[in-house]
Order: sequence, then C-alpha cells, then structure tokens
Amino acid sequence: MKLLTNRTLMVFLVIFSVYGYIASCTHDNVSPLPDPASNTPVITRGTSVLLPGTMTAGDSTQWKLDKAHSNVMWSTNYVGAAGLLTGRFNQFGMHNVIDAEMTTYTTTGQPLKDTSWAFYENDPAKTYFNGYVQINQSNTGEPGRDGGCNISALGTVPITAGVQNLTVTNLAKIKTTKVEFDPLSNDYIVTLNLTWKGNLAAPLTQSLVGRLKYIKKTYVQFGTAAGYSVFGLQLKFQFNCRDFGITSTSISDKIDIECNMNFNNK
Amino acid sequence: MENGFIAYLQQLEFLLFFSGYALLYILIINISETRKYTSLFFQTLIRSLPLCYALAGSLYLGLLLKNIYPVYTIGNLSQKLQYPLLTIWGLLSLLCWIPLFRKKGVYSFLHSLLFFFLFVKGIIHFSTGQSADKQMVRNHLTMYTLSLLLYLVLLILMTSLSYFRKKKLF
Repeated sequence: MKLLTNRTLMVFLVIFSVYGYIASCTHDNVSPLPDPASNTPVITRGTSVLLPGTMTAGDSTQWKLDKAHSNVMWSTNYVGAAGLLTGRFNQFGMHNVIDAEMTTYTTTGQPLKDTSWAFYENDPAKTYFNGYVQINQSNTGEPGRDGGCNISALGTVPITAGVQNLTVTNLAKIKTTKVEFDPLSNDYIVTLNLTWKGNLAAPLTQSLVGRLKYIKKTYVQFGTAAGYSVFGLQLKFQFNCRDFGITSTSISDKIDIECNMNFNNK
Repeated sequence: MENGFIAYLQQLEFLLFFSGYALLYILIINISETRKYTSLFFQTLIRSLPLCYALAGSLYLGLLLKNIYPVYTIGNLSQKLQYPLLTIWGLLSLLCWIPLFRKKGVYSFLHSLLFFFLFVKGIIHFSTGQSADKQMVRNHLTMYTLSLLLYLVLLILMTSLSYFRKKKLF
C-alpha cells in the first residue's frame, strides 16, 4: 500500500472510531440524578365544616348520607391462613342508636336518620360520628353462607323481609371518642368504641384505633340537571372477633372493616 | 435469517473478535512507514499482526464450538448461526496461519475491514436516525473497545514470542 493510501485509510478509520465514541456518549455518568423527594409529607387541610343538620332535602347547607352509594365492607383471611373472605353489610347507617331505639322497624328504608355525625376538616376535636350495621345483613354473595352458617356463627337471627332489625343481637355500632390529625398524612387518627354482642351474653364495648380519610368536597353537575356537592369519608379499622365470642375457625381472629361513606347536599 | 436478539448478540461477537484489528493495523503500518522504523522489534511487530488476526479467528472458532457443544454437527451449527456468510468470512481469518497469507499482511487488513464497516454501519444508522437506541451504539463501542484491547494483548503476546524466539532467548 502506498503511504498516502495508508494515511487516508488511517484518517478514515480514526475519524469513524472517534466519532463512534462521541456518538455513543450517553452522559449517564455525568448527568446528576434529580434531588431525592422530600421526606416531609405535604399536608394541606382546608376549612370545610360539614354537618348533617336535619337532612332537609334541597338545603345545600345540610349534608345527607348517600347510602345507595356508600358501603361497609369486611374482610378476613379464610381459616386464618388463606386468601381473603370478603363481604359487605347491606344495611347500615350513621345514627347513634340508643337503647330505646334498639328494636325492629318495619320499613325497607333507613329506620333512623343519619344525622349523628359532624366533620370539621381543620378542627378534628369537633369531629365525631356514630355508625351501625345490621349483622344479619352481611352479604358475601353466597346465600348459603349469608343465611346459613354466618347467622349462627355471629350469634344473630335470620333476616325478616321488610324489617330493619336493630335489636341488641343484630346490632354492631361504633362511636368516636377522639379524632386527631395524623401528623404524617392528610388523614385523621380516630379512636372509637365498637359495641357488639356477638356470641357473648351481653354487648361488649371495645376501644379501637382507626384511620379516617377525607375525600374533599367537590361540586359536580351532569347535563342540564342542577349541580350539587359531594364529599367522602373513609374509615378503616380492625378488631379481634374472638373478643366478641366468635369461635368460627373459617375466619381469622382479625377482621378488617372499611367504611366508605359518600355524602351530598342535594 | 435474522432472529432478533440472538442475531444482535452474534453481531456483537463479530465486532469483539474482528473489528478492532483494522485500526490497530493501519496505525502500526503508518507509524513504521512515517518514522522509518526498521528495527528487528518493529519488523517483528508488523509480522506479528496477521498472526494476531489468526489467533483472534481461532478464539472465535473456539467460541463457535463452545456454543454448539455438545452436538458438533453442521445442522446444529447452521441452526444457531444467524449470519452464516459473515461467520464463514470471519473464519477465513484462520488462513492467516498459512505463511502464504501471513506474509501479505494487507489481506488480513482488508479482511477485517468488513467488520469495521459493520461497526461503522451501526454508528451511521444511529446518526441518521434509523436506529434510535443509544444503548445499542454504546454496546457497539464497548465491543469495539474490547476488540482493540484484545488485539493489543494478542499483539504484545505474539510480538514477544516472535521477538524472543528470534533473539533465541528461548
């Protein structure tokens, strides 16, 4: 090969080699990673005060429980070791059921007004709520379980059509005793009393701690219909069913409860 | 014939075993011609170049044999090869063991240019936007760098062996 040819080739080869290194440079080693996210939670709380009043229809200052779009769900591990057994209570409400009201009601609607609650977004000391479920209205989607073993295992009585049974054997209720800010999130830490007879001789009241999440108030409007506002409250807590005399080995000791309550001001 | 990822890996193998030779060869030839190096060491260095290429080809053959282990049949080999023509071309580097080809070092250079163009093709594809994957170019460059290092090591090895043999040191 002539020197010139060699030189030309060399230049060609060197240029392409150098260009290759430049083109392949990803700068991965020099581009700094973004700063780590702050570990301090961003907590923003509004000043909403949400009260039920007398639940007068059409009064937008009074908030009504939208039971049709709310639910109370339970879940527990099957035989305490396998996957989740889940279900919901078809009948529940937000009323402080006093002894005098613990009876049966012949109605298909809410037997008592859902007015025993108040929510102050920025003042949890004023926030409180009461709630109840009818134990025999547990719905797992398996009629054989709901109307069968669940009735005896939970120490209650079968459903009577058209009757709301709020008697002591069929009623589990909660009542908050303290609501405070969760320092690590937008949620609230709730201390509540769970009262339920279960399979015991008399109702037992147990103090539990749960977490309350507030889903902020929002104005909605669909089509030409009048707009309205909605908000949600989600409460989660856990209790030990053995404390209430439940001995069924089909379920775990621990029962998780999740209440998703939706409200509107229609 | 191409089979996605396997084909890509085989391309990288070609680059590793053959692409670095062209640049090394042309650099050494140019340096020796411009500086008029005529010492025994430099003559040995230049004569060792085709041997290095043959040795790299032998290593590539070893890799092929390892890949088809334990079924050493043409059928198995052809089934695993995504670029049979390129593979045959690569194995032709073994001819550099034969003195006839070894004496004409330019043959080994011309032979390796094909693999250098394979490397260039990858760079051009990326530069012209036909291939958007920068990691692929990076892989090409990694293999090219390793190939240069491989040939440097082989060159040092072969030159030392030849040099010391001529000096009758062993």
